[in-house]
Amino acid sequence: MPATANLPAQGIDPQALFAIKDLELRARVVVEGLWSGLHRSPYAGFSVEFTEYRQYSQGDDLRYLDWKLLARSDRHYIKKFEDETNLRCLLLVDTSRSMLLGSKGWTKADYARTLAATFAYFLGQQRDVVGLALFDGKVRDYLPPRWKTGHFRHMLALLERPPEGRDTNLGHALEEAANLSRKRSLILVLSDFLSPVSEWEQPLARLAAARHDVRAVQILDPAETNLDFGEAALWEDLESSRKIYVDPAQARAGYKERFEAHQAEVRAALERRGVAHQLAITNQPLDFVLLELLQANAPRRAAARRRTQL
Amino acid sequence: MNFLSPWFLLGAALIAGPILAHLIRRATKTRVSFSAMRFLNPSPPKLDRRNRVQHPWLLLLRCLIVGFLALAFARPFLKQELPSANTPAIPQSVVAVLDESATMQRTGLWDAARKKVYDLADNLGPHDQFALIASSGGATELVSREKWMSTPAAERGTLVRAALADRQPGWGPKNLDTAIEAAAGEWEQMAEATNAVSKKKIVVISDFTNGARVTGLAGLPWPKGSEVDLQPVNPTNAGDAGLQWLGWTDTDNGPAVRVRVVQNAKSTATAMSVQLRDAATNTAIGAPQKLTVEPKDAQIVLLPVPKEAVGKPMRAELSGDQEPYDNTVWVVRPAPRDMELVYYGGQAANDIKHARYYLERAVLGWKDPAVKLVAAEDAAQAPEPAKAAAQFFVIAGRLDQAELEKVRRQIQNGSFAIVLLNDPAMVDTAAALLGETGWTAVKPTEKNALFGQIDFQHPLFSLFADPHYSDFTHIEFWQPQSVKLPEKTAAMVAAKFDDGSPAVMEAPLGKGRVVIWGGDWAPVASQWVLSTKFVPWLETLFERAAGGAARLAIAEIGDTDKLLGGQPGQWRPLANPTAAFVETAPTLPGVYQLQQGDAIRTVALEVPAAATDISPMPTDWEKLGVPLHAQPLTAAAPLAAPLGQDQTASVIEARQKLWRWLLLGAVILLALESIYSLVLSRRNDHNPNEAAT
Repeated sequence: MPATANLPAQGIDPQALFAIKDLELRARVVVEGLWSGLHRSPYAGFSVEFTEYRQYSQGDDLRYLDWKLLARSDRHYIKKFEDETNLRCLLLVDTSRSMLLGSKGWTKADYARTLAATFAYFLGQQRDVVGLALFDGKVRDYLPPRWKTGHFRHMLALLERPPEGRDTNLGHALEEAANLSRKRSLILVLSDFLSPVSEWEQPLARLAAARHDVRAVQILDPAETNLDFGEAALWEDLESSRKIYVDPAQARAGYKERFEAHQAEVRAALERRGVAHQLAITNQPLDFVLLELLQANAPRRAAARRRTQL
Repeated sequence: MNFLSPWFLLGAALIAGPILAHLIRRATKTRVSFSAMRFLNPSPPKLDRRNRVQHPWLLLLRCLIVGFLALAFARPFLKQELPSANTPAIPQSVVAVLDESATMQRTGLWDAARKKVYDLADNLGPHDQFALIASSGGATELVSREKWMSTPAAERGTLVRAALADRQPGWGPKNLDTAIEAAAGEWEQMAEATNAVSKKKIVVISDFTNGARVTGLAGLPWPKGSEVDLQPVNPTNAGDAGLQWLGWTDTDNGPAVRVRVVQNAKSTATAMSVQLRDAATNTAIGAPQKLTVEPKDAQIVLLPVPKEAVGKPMRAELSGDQEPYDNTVWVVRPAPRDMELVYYGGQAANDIKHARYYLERAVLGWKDPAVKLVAAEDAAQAPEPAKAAAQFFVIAGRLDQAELEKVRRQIQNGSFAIVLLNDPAMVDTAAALLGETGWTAVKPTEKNALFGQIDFQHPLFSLFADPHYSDFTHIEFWQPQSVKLPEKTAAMVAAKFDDGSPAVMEAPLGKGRVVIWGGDWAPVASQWVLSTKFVPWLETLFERAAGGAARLAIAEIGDTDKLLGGQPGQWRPLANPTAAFVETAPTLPGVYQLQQGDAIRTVALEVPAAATDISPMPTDWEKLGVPLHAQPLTAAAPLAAPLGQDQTASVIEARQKLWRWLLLGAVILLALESIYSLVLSRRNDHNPNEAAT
């Protein structure tokens, strides 16, 4: 793709980004940066343009009447275009307690929120409809995909709400998401995927089988990948409050081994279910993550769109 | 080292707190929260680090703070012998104030008080200075410093005993402040005499009842190192009832004596009776009044005086009380001074156009002098009264020669007269009355005259000397009549009209006086009789005519100045009419004859009312700035009694006050601890890894 050549040499420094308190401004900074880097949309027809004229019949909404055509030709036509979209997107954001880890000054939850807001803003710019579901043990807040004024603000308000902090149950949340979105949608799961694979693989499979375009964005803290963190002390689990004495220096090797095994399992499970996996480490620039997310599956997206139009 | 409250040392066990904190803290302090605990295996920390005490110096400081506090609360002291009161290191200047007021007459008090004085004198060293002052109203020196110092040390006890042997408490008020002030003055003499640094001490021996006056001590400068030691004495009978004089009450059946029976809070005898007796013969007058007075209560009793006893000196006596000193009240009732007002002028008494009408109404209702109106015709026929100053003449018309001679004689004997110059011819009458010549009638130039100049020093107008009352400008004289006085005249001008001519004059004639008023008092002639100043002016003049303002007849002992009224007087007890009058004021309650000038009147002296109040004195001496001795007021312990073991310990501890130093040490350590822990926490902030270890 030629867009790769247009990637900014250096992304937006996450530290600078997270210094911005306003979530909307943060999303806008990322997206605007992305636009300026891309020059033009990599997705021709990502959003729907003008489709057709149709003869006006009684009962049609006058809002969609082409008044200019009426003035010119004295004929009544309904113009069908922008207000209908071909892409529905549901952002499933993990707000459980394990997302509260942040070794860099911002937490995984911050990162996930910003990513969700950025993505929603990006799609909003293209007039796609975006919905939002916040989950921990189950879906706590749900905003169905919709195109209306204030929807984005509403979404931001939900995202900015401080997380209540409960235990994760990704499987249950995915099941609920499947029930909530009956229409085929792009479902973006923003979570750390730290729970055992067996807990969520089946619901994920069900979601993918419902012909949703599911993508997993695994958000991890750098400390989680290499355990370069903490001190020899009493360590407490964020979710289960289990306490054990840990000396990271001693535990590092074993941890890395087990963590890598888990990651491999995650990747394999996602691969099996045809779900795109995107790893987002919280010290990575956000726009990179967004760009990669958009690029990686462009062919599938285009294919999916074609299928939809058929 | 000993401790006054050793059980506080148990508080030192709290040292375990910081030690435990320093041992445990490390294990509990740091917590790390992590998400991917699933992949972690426990790796227990090494044990050797846990056992090490963190920041040993900080721990030491904290243990010391707790230890110091516990020690301070235990009030430690170093055992040492109390310096004996008998052999003080520096000579003492001791002034004893012995209360001799009326309340000290209660049973048992006087002997106890004297014993205290003897003990005090006996316990003084050979170089100590001593003086003894008795307090009864004023201050009387019984043993002077010079006498004490000139007496050999061995005989000083005898000296004090001799001074007190035949003394008894008096009847005066309990003015302790006067005596203590005198005692403080005694110190100065002692300091001058010795030029040596000495310990100054005033020992006050009294029963400290509520009636004591000490307010005079406020603001008194006390020399450094001086102290006042209060030595209370306790009576045998705690209770007492007293009788207080209140006044006369005029009832329909004649006068009645009003007295109050005051019962003390601790009294046991409640059934009382009050009886009126003749002061001279001691015979009972009327029936006794029985009453029941509860403790801490007071009742007012009216004792009617039968007609035959009115005017006699009496005493009211309370019976049923154990302490007799305040059970008698002496009563006299001064007879009103009668005076005849004789008016010469011929006008009708009810003619409102003339001065007579106003004059007669002005004197109505006066009690002293009690004025009786006498027509000039009746006065002419009646024999001349023998008693001096019994008549007052108002001359508003010309007198014939016989009348003139008669009035003149009366005035020379002490009567007063007013001559109203309502006619130019009256000037001659006035001159004739005074026996002078050369008086000429003068008409003031102003038709509407005012008083232009008034001599407020003159007894005629001194009543109005206050600027509040000295405004005479609203009193106009429409028919003024003045006089041109000869050069040699006895008349003094007390007021002048505004043109400078004499308006009011007064001249002595024999023992009496003649006032000459320039003009008529009739309302057509002036506004004088209708002004508010007329009646007071007239009453003052009548009082002068009667021998001066009415004086008190009953006062408390020590308050004899009230009876004397600023003039000298001589006293004689009524019971002993043959005795000579003496200048010195009496010190015993009773009925006396007081001679002032020619006048002799009967007066009564009472036991001070404050002496009947024997409840304990509530005054906070320290508020008055009095440097009190450390011993409490209520402890009526004898001076030389040895202190118990507990008392000794507390006295030594109070002197050493080691707890203060310990508390100071604890505060300093606390400051050090704060600084040290601040430094530590800053260091930890800079190097968090070190803090973790």
